[in-house]
Parts: sequence; C-alpha cells; structure tokens
Amino acid sequence: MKISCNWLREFVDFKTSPETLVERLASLGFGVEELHSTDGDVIIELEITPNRGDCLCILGIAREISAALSLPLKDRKVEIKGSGDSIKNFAKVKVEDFKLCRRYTARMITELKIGPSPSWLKKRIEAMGVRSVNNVVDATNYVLLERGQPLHAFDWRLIKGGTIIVRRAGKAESIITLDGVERKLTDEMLVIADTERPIAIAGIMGGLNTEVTDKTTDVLIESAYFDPVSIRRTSMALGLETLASYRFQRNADIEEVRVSLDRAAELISRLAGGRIIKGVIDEHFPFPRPKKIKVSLERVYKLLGMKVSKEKIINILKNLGFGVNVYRASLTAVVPSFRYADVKNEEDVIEEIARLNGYDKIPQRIPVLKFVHDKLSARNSSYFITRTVKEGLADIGFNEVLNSGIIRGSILKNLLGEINAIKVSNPMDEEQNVLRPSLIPGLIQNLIFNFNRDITDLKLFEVGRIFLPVEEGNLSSESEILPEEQIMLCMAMSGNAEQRWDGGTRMLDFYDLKGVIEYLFERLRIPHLEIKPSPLSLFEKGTGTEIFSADTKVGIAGELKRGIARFFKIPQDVYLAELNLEKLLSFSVREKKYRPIPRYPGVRRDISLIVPVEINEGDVRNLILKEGGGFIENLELFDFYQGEQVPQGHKALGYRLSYQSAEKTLTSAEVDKIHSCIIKTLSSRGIRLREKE
Amino acid sequence: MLEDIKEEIGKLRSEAQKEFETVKNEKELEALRIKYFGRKGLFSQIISKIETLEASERPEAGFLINTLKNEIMELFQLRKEKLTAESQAEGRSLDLTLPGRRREYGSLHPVTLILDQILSIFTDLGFEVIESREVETEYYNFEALNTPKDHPARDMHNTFYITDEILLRTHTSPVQIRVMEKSRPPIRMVSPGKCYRRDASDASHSPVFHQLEGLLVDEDISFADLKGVLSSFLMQLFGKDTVVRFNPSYFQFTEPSTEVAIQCKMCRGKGCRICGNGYLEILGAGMVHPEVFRAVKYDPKKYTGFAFGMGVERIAMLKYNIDDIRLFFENDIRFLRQF
Repeated sequence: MKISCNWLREFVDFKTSPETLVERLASLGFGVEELHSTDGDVIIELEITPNRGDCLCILGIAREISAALSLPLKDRKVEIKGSGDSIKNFAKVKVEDFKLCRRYTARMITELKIGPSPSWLKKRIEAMGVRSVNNVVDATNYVLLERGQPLHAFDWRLIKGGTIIVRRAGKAESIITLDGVERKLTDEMLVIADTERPIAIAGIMGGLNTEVTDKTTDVLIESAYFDPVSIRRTSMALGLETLASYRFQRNADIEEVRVSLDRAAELISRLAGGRIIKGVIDEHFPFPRPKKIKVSLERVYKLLGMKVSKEKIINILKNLGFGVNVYRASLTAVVPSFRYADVKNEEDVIEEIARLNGYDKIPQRIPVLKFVHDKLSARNSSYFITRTVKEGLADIGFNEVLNSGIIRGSILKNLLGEINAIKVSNPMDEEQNVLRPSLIPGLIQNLIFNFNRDITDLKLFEVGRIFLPVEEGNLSSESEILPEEQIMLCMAMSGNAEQRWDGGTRMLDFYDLKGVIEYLFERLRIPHLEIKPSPLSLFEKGTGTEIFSADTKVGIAGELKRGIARFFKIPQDVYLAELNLEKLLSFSVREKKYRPIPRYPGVRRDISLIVPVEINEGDVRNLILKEGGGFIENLELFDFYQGEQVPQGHKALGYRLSYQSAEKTLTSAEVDKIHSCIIKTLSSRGIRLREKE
Repeated sequence: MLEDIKEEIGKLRSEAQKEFETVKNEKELEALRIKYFGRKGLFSQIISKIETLEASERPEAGFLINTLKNEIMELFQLRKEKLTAESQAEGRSLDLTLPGRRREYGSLHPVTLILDQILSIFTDLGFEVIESREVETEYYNFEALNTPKDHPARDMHNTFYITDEILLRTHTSPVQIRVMEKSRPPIRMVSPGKCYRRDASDASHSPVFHQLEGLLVDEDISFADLKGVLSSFLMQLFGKDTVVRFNPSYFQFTEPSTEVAIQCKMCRGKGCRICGNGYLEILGAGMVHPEVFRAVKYDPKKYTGFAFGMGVERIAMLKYNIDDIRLFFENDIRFLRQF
C-alpha cells in the first residue's frame, strides 16, 4: 500500500528522514517495496501482511510509528452539531441480518453542491493510487485512505421509500454496479437495498441506480461493519475486489465505524457545502466485550529466549494502544478494537512485545539437542539413497532434469494411450491439465526441446513422483482419498554412443540402455536382475521389456516406438527406461559381506559356438553355467557374430570360461572332463563347436 | 711379437673406450659395433695376428684379447641401453595436443546441488531428512496450519485443485503436520520437495518450484534458538561474513513470525539492481503456533518449537547468478551441463 509521508506527519510528528523511517518500518514488519519523492512529498509503498488490516491506512501506520518512536499520536475527534430535524425523521434503516452486518451507521447531508475536489485533496488521493471522481466520492475515499474505514455515499433522492434495508439478496436479483457491469446475486450475498431493489453490494461496490452525480443535492453517507468472511466470499464469487472489500476482509474495527462517518460528514460539508442533518443512525448488535489476554513473564521468556522487563512490556503495550492491568508475575493486555482481528492469544501479544522491542535484541543460541535413539542416522534416509542413484547416473554421462508434476494431457495420450490419470480441476492452461502417471512424457518433451536446438546426443534422467488414481472401491480412510504417489527413476537416451577422433563412432542401442540398468543394479547392490520381453505399446516391436528383481516387477525398458517418435518429430531412435525407485531400493543389500579370494589357480578355456538363432544367448549361458556346476568362476561372452561366415539360421558366440575351485587346484584332466560335458550338453541342443578355419 | 700385440691391445682399449663413450646415437653405435666386432672388424684383425706368434706366446695373447673383447662388449651394452632409453624418452611421435579419450561426466540439476549444500548443513546439526507427498488435502495444506477457509492469507496461495478437498500442496509446510502426527518430540527434521502455485510464470515465478521445510520441537526451544540455528545455516551457506537480518512477518502457522534476509553482498546493504533495497529475503520462519500444536495433540504449554521454509530455486539463483526461474524447468542441456 502507498503511504504519503506528508499525510502521515499530520498524525505523528516524526523528524526522521524517510530512509530511516523505512528501515524502522521494516523492523516492525512492514516490508518496503518502493520509496520515491514526488512534488514535495515522499511516497512509501509498503507491503502489509494480511493480519494487519488495521494498517491499510495512514492512521494505522501512524499508530505504529508513534509506538515505535514513542511520539504522541495526533488523532483529533470530530464534533458534529448538525441542524434541522433529526435524520430519524427522514430515513429509516432496517438491518435484517445482524450476523453479516453487525453495525450500520448513516448521516445525511442536504443541499450540497457536487463539483471537482480541490487540488490538495486530488493530489493526496491520486498519490495513493485512487482516481478523483467528485468532491463527495473523493471525500469518502479520502477518509478510507486516512482511517481505513470504507464508506459509501448514496444519492438520497434516488433511494425509494426513504428506507435502507440491509438484507441478503434474493435468488434472482441482480444489480448494475458503479462500474456499469450487471452482477447476478445469490442469497449468500449481502446487499443494501431500498424498498424496491438492491442499491449496493454491501461492502464491495455501490449501485448505478443511486450513484452520486452532478445532479445530486442530498446524500446519505453509509459507514458499517460487515462480516469479513461474507465480504470475502461475495468478492471472490463476483470476481470483484475493491478498496472497500479488501479492507472489510482484513480490518474489522467496529468502533471506528462511527468515527469515520463523522469525519466524512465534516469533510463533505467542508468541500461541497450543504447542511449536515442533525443526528445519526446507528443500528448495531451489542458490541463485543474488550478482549483481555493474560501474559505471563515466564511465557515471554520461554518463547523469546530472553527476559523483557515488566516495565518495558507495559510501555510497549500502552504505546500500541493496549490497556494494561499489572499483576505480580503477569499482566493482562486489553486489546484495542482495531486489533481484534489479529491479536487473539498470549503468543500474539508476545509477538507485539518482541516486534516493538526489536527482533535484533533477541540473542542467538544453538540448542543442545537431546540424544534420540531412533534419529541417530540423519543421513540414512531414502533421500540419500536416491541421491546415490543420481550421482551414479551423472558419473556415467547422464544429465539430470526436473519436470513439473502437471503435464499436458495430449502428450500423455499420444505416448501411453487412454490411461487413467488424475485431472487438475482448475488448470492454468487447458492443455496442461493432468498429474503425471509416468515420468516418460516429461523426458520426451525434454528430448524434443533439445533436438529443436540441434542437440541430438542426449542422456537424460529424472527422479520424481508420479500420481496414480486410487480405485473407487478403496475409499475408506482419509489417506486413501489421496492419489498414490510413487518415486520413479526415468532414463532416456538417444544419439551417438561416443564420438572419437580416431573413428569408432556408433549410435546408442538397446544394449547401452541395458548396460546402464545393469550398472545401476550393481551400484545399488541389487543382486537379482531379470529383463523379460514384454510387448508394451510404447515400445518398438521386439524391444519392450519388463525389469524384475527377485520376481517383483520394478520397471520397464525399451526403444520408443518409431511411429510415436515420428509423431513427435524425433528424428532418431530413443531408448527409455522407467523404474520404481522405492521398490528397487527395497532389494538393495545394505550389509556387504566379504567372500574369500580363491586360493587355487584357475584354468581358462575359450569356446566358439555355432548356435541356432532361435536359442537366446541367455539360454546358452545358463546351460553352460548349469553344466559347469560350481566350477565356473567367471563366464564372459567375448564374441558375437551373425553373417556370412556362419551357416544360415545360426549365430556364432565366443565364450571365455574361467574354471576354478575353492578347495583345490583343478587338474587339466578334471577341467577337460567338465568342459566336454558342457560341449556334449550344448550339442544335444543343436549347438556345436565352430570349426577353426 | 707378443710385445707388439700387447701394445696394440693397449691402443685398442683406449681408443675403444673413447669411442664408445662419446658415441651419440644408436646408428653410430651400430657402426662402432661393426667396426670392432664385425667379421672384418678390429677384433677379427687382432685375433688373426695371434697366428704370427710363437706357440708359447699364443695363450697369453688370446687371454688378453678375450679380456679386452669382453670389456668392450660390456661397454657397448651399457652404451646401447643408455641410448635406447634416451631415444625412447624423446622418440615417440605422439601429438600430445589431441584431445584425450574422455569419460564423459553428466550433471546434476542445480536444485539437487543446492539441496546437497543445504541438507548437509542441517544433517550436521542433527536434523533428519524426510520426504513427503505433493498431493495433499485441504486439511494438511491449510486447516491444520491454522488457515481456515475464507482467510485472506489464502490469497497468497493460488492453489491447483484436484477436487474440493484435494490439492497440490502450495508449500512444504503440510509435512510439519504429518511428521508431528506420527511422532513425539523431540522433532528435528528438514523436508525438501516440489510445491505448486497457480501463478503465471515469469522470470521470478514458476507454477512449480521447490521448498525446504524445517521443524524443531522440544521442551525448551525459543526464538533465540531459531535465530541461532538459522544464522548459523545462512553463514555456512553464504559465507562467514554474511549479515543476517530478522524482521517481523506473518504466517498463519507461526507466532511470532519472522522473515530472514541477508545483506546483499554486491552493494553491502545500500540497495542495487540485484537486491532492490539492500537485503535479500531467504527464509520465512517463526515459533510454531499453539493452534498447530493443538491440531497434532501436542501440549502447547509444554512444547515449543520453530519452523522455517525457504525457496530452493531462489537460493540457487543467488548462488549461481541465474536470472530466470523458468530455466530450472526448461531442461536445456546447455543450462544443465553448466552444473
């Protein structure tokens, strides 16, 4: 909110420079957004937190400065005599809903002359960001800016039946507000009406039907207290926020209502002439009793970690307008009406004490933490294990990305088909409207983004949450109405495997992806990895796989279907894997056990095999290992060939077998025996030794 | 005559020693080898002279020649090793300026890197790291945090809703409630994670961003502890010379509340293009509101504590000199590779 320093000085006579003032205001909790000089005045733009509705005006800020600098607050009382018959003989006010309107006051001024405001007034309200309309409207705005109380002036002659009724709107009612817009009302909304129709939306905006215009001669000034919640709901429902509604939502000073009314009446009669009618209408519900809050010195110490003397506390509270009753080890703070909305309990009062005493006076201490048995290993949480995964992937050339949990529904559909995803009910962008049920769409978008910038060799990964709808039938407890969240790891790779100046360039393929998965399992110490073919629609035919550990499915991997890649204008093969990190990490072996290094020398034998293509390499490997009993210490595939040198329908595999025993040195004869058993078993499956050329 | 041969041997010795010692390269050495040990070399010549001697003189001459031959042979070997070593040291013609066959390193996202720094400071102080959900209920995101429906404080939280009751958390503070519901004091935890706000994106706003929440609850925790822990944190993160400022602020779920700022290092608090008014707000914090304790059935008379929250991207922007928050979620490789 903008504050004029000249105006402020009318209420508190501070001598400090605006720069020093601004620092003091910041230390009181009013952030300064801007400070600029104009036309002999300094305008400070302050950030007012929602609890300080009382500070949305000059008077409120003046109160704070007066308290902080121990300067007197110059708030003059307005005395109005009025003339002629009492207002009660002309105007009737009926408050039908005291819940939504706890106080309604009004005064009348007749025979006034509408005209432009004098330039001093124009300058003031315009400096604070309010447009000048005419002397009467400007006067109500002036009082609002000065004292925080919103007011409204009606053209009295246009009010039907000489009666103001404060009631809820009828279901089909509507009103054209001062901005010329027709507003449909509901029975949740409070209106000011005459005997025939609504003439204002209470606390938000007046109606065009009773607007003060050049022709107006008699006005009724309204000053009231409306229920903050009702104002907020109406304002939000109508999408209409005004100076008045903003303040009514945040500031509820029931005592100020009448003071501001008199101040406005006085100002209007000064600016527009006319006659203030004797008497005032003041319909109200019994006022709330002043709130008294007990504050113990011990609690002050406990919360702030410092002692503040009783005298100091009394002084601070009195400066802030609180009443104080003093006892031996405590005191009672009597909350002034302008702080009812904000100061409700002992902690609130203690904050006031700390605030005025200065947060900088509170000492700094490092707490001595109690020993807690189950919280010893602060670094042992799943966060740090996940962190290992990230480190591992960055180490082998992957770049970490982070994407929003909200994704485009269309990209999801194009990748994974019609799948059940959670929708955002009020997206910002109609396209960006679902919670991701997979990290893949995000990574695809990242690939496209970088391809479009001519970066085509990419290895990306993301660790993040996905959101899965919970089946309708399972809605039994509160936690289950929430979607299921799973922490996933997704990897995407595409382009060249490596580029070397001495040749040797090749494109990434499925085995690069598989190698990364194997590496991850090893790095995370997950002993069992099985990759099973699975025809997933996302992947190119024959490349889709599901990843298992200990018979539990932990993820999927494969090559993105080329048709899908083409659809997204991705010009090259893309390899994708998505793993459920929580499941995966549950298989991680934390306790590593040492296995003795073999003491006896091993024997190496190489074999070259001709294998029918329909037999998978994995099956050959398993046959060898099974037949080799416990004697094969290591089995390494060193050659794979398919082509002219090999008979049609076959492939050549070359293995290096390392025979070793933990108990003794194997003799050549023993190895020969096992080795020939293996060859025999293989040949029974149509696998034979490759002849030497 | 034996005497003549002896003289010849002496001459040969001194000549050979001189020649083998001064030879410059392997080629010259090879020439020397041929000169001495070749089929028509000096040794062959001198050996052939043995025949001209008396039979009684021959063994002695043979012995002397052989001794010399062995001596010179040894000299040759030594010289050869030395020259080979020298030629190897200078000789291989590698273009050492060609790029190495590098193992490519990838990169971690700047948010991850900043979280590493922040979390290591707090774990050193004994805080646990806890992760929590991103989709929350109204209750955890607002009500349990003393922010009822229709409170103007909700204006600061433009919220994405799934249903009337379910939403994307607008801050990491719901984790306070979830942790306190599950365990008893002492509580000391930090919790990083994504948050969402329905704000139009620009250089300083993104609908998705990361926060880090912290909570410390025990029987004797005061605002002085809050100041001590958070000052220490900021000085570890931004350097020992960091000036930390605590100003009053407002959050529904803390009382008293504070906004923690550090003095801008560019202008030393005078105000500049980076900071505006001389200070950079880093943290929101405060003493846990008694209503929050009541919501999790802690006795607010017995326990006190402080909570704090900070924007991770904002800290990353300050530390890495990044001027647009949207870069964090664009995932441009040219951005990511810089970290």
